[in-house]
Amino acid sequence: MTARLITIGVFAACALALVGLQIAAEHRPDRICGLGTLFGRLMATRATRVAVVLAWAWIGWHFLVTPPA
Amino acid sequence: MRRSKPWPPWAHPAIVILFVAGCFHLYRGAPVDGVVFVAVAIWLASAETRSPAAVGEEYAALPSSWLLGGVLLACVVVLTVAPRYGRVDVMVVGGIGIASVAVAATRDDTVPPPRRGAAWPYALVGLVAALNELTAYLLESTPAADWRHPSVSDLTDPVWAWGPTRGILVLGWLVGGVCLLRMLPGRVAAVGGTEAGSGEGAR
Repeated sequence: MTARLITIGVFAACALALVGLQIAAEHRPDRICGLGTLFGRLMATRATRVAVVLAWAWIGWHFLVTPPA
Repeated sequence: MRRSKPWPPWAHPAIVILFVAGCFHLYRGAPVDGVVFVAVAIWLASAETRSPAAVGEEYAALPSSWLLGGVLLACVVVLTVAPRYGRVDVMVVGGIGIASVAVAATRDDTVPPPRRGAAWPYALVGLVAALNELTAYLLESTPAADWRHPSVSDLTDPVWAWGPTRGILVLGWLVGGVCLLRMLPGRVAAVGGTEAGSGEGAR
């Protein structure tokens, strides 16, 4: 039970951290980069743009098309 | 003018990450995912070495909001109603994915927006989540261990399995894609004589 809680807790903490970082970026853009700026920079060059779009497409493929093992 | 990078074009970190991810997909028994990731990484390495993308100033023109919204809604309905893991899912999701990657690969580069704040905290969060997922994968050797170390797929499967919540998740996935589409630079200006990166003006 403890191991399960820890595993889920880490995922939840990561999700909360992303929300927290975005809120921090709204208030202190000089300290933390916002997600819009971050993705804007990633989408500006071909290598990172293709990687981001492929990662996004794979999420749909993984959850909608690939049945669990 | 571009700032010189500390790595050769074929070893861009994004390409390395794609290649490593592809190898991991092959290792975990997902050959289609693995082949796609490795193939895209090899193509990118080749393309970045041969012809750096031209740098433009424009962002891509989007289809009208009505058209975009209609297509998005149709996809949500189809992917929600169609049997899960069925042929319709394969065609729709596969088609969207292939088209998106192809469009992303054929655009100019553009001048990135200025960044003032730090971006490394996002990388740290992503790294922790990835290591947690990897740990769960490596430890889930039996059903009992699978329960003790659930992956994101295990945790979210009930939400994907129920139609209404699957519809919401599909909508979120597609809206994310539209957001990426809005950030796409303009199309490569010319094919042939002034192809991407071939002219001095492209730098």
